[in-house]
Amino acid sequence: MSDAALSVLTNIGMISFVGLSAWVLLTVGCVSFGQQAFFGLGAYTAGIATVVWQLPLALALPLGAAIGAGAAAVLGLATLRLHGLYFSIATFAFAELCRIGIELFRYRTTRDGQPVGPDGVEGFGDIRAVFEAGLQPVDQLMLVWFLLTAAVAVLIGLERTRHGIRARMVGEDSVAAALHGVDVARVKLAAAALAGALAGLGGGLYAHLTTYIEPRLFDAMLGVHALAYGLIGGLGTAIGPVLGAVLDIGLLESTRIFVGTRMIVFGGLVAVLIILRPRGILDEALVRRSACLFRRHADARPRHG
Amino acid sequence: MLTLDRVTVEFGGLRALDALDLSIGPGEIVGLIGPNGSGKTTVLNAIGGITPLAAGSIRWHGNRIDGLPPHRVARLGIARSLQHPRPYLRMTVAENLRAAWSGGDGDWRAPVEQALELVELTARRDVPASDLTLADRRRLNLGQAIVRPPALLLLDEPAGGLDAGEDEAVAALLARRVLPGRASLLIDHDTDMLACLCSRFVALDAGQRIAEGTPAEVLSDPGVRRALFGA
Repeated sequence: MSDAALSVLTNIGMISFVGLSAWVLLTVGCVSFGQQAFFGLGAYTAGIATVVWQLPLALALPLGAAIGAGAAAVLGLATLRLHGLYFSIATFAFAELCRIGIELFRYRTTRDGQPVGPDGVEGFGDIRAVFEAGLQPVDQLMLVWFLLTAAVAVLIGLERTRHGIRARMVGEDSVAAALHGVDVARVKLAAAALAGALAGLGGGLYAHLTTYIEPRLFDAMLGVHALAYGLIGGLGTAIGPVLGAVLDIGLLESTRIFVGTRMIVFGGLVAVLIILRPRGILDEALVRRSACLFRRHADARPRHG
Repeated sequence: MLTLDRVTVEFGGLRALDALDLSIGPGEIVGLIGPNGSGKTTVLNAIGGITPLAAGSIRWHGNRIDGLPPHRVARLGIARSLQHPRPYLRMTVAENLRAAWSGGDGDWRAPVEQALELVELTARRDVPASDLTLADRRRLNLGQAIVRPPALLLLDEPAGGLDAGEDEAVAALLARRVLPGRASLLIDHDTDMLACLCSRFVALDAGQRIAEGTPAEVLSDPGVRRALFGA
């Protein structure tokens, strides 16, 4: 595989985490335009952890996820009682607040005679832990997709548990869910924290694999794309937002077919899908039908006995 | 078992319930009747924790439950069906029942099977709820209310909006399989159907109790006749 292809696939994997993050909130019926904030917080936290505090990457990535989860939970406490559009606006405002906050944030120290650390609008470079550890592009790809696959597997596993069912109930009809004994506020808060952790983990990976981050990267466009990945790929399964990212980054951004027209095609794709498949390509009905087919196939197999 | 003591609910300046007293004993099936806007649904909303009280109290086995959020009331075993059935449309019939059960602990399969059978939806178990007719949605709504056997069942127009044959089928289902032995509070505009199902009627008008007694007594009360039928 060429280095360019490796880098595209790695990028898809990293950005998928923000898509997954927005998707988790979509499943409980909350439209967030602000998941890029937790991606950014995770990126800066993990970057500071390895560069300034000299912590190992294996500690820095969970730390980024934890800060993402914590910030999302705090924001959730303040905003999850807001309905519909008001919640969306609040998340967007928070994300912009975070981005501007990071622009003002300076935390410099000296390593090997060089100043390092976040430097406001100048960004935060030399996040080299991955490269100093000698991870090759193929290893980086494996790391990202291993963590992404694990995250998707956990989410698919959760679907079948009581927690997953409660989340779906809240996402479909929070009034009915409350009448059926579900603590709607708690379900939404747990989803917000989980979404924050996913975005934070993705951010930590992003900081280390690109070695340079700046506040501008975590602007509203990232949030809008993250949201769109779930809506394109499908809301019926956690694979949906990954598929959305593959289509957008893999097909539109990275091939030369749509140079200069990427955003037009992307916008058109979203518009067409909202009309044809309002719940995305892998929607609940398709997921149910495939699960049914799979079961039938498994039942039809001869059994030893 | 359930006791409402001088329950008052206000919406802005409007007094929807005015010092209402009401009690339901074990196994008792009570019908709540009254003209539109008399406060019938508000009674269920007050019990279910959806509408806050301006005054008065609601007790369940002696403990106050007014002020509890809806999910806490539901977990006490007080099940509520809505006037307009709203199943989880993207789930199948069986998934809807499992969802309604999911507040509880233990294995869900047996209760879901029982509920499917009870409301006669076993054959449609894998149909998405969005494909159900209104009559089947009403059945599913009932199934969701009883999948975890409730200690008290609150039913808001269980046969509302159905045509003549369908509402009889739902009434028969209620009479034979859902209500017997289960404390219930029912609302319906069809007072004849309610009279067959209930042992006691409470009549409301403008948020106040105007009559209480056996269905025959209440329906022959001149004040009730005036409020309900204008004669």
